[in-house]
Amino acid sequence: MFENCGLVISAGIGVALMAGVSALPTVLLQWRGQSWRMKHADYVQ
Amino acid sequence: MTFGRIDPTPLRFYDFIQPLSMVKYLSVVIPAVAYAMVFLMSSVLVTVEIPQLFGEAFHFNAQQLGLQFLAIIIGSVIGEQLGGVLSDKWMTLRARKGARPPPEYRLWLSYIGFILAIVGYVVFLVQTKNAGTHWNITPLVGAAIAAAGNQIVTTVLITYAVDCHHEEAASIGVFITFVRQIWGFIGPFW
Repeated sequence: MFENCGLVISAGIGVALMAGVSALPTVLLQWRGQSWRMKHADYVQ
Repeated sequence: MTFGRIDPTPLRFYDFIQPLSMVKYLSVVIPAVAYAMVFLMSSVLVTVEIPQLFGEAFHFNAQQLGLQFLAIIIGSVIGEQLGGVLSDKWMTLRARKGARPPPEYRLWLSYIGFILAIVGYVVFLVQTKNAGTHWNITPLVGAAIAAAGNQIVTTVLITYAVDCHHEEAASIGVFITFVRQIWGFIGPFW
């Protein structure tokens, strides 16, 4: 990756991956997490 | 001194793959994936690339390369202390205002971890490029920040996942570690 794209573009790729795969799903999780948990009714918080 | 099993229940094959059944809980899968990606970029990539990039750019010998990793140690220690303390203080602070907050409230802290990991990662790469042929400390500052962010994300996300399903705590830990290891293994091939 570094050889093909160079360091700076790789930095951009990393930011996009971390934002898109980690941060955004966490936003979704924070929004919806409670209702997802409730659906697994054996454990109610 | 005698050795023996703590729990005499017979081992079954299913015991080894049971943690994979955690995939049915989205509130475990998403933290696992999010954590794995951050771990890959801010920890694995930085660790693998320090010898690669610094070796090529600065012509370091093994000892010099080894010393670079001090930055990661410092960053990780700071991040772990911050993550652990903040995580619990955050929740107890909120609990004082009323009933015990839902586990999702803890996730506010993960964003600090994500930001630190992203910023540290970018600083590491950009500053390594800017350094040219003369080493300076700034890429390692980035590596330390990324390591701190990684630890905060680790603490917050795993605590959240276990908080959601207390009874599966052990399996959740194994599952998240499994996803993280696979991700961290596949990533560097790019």
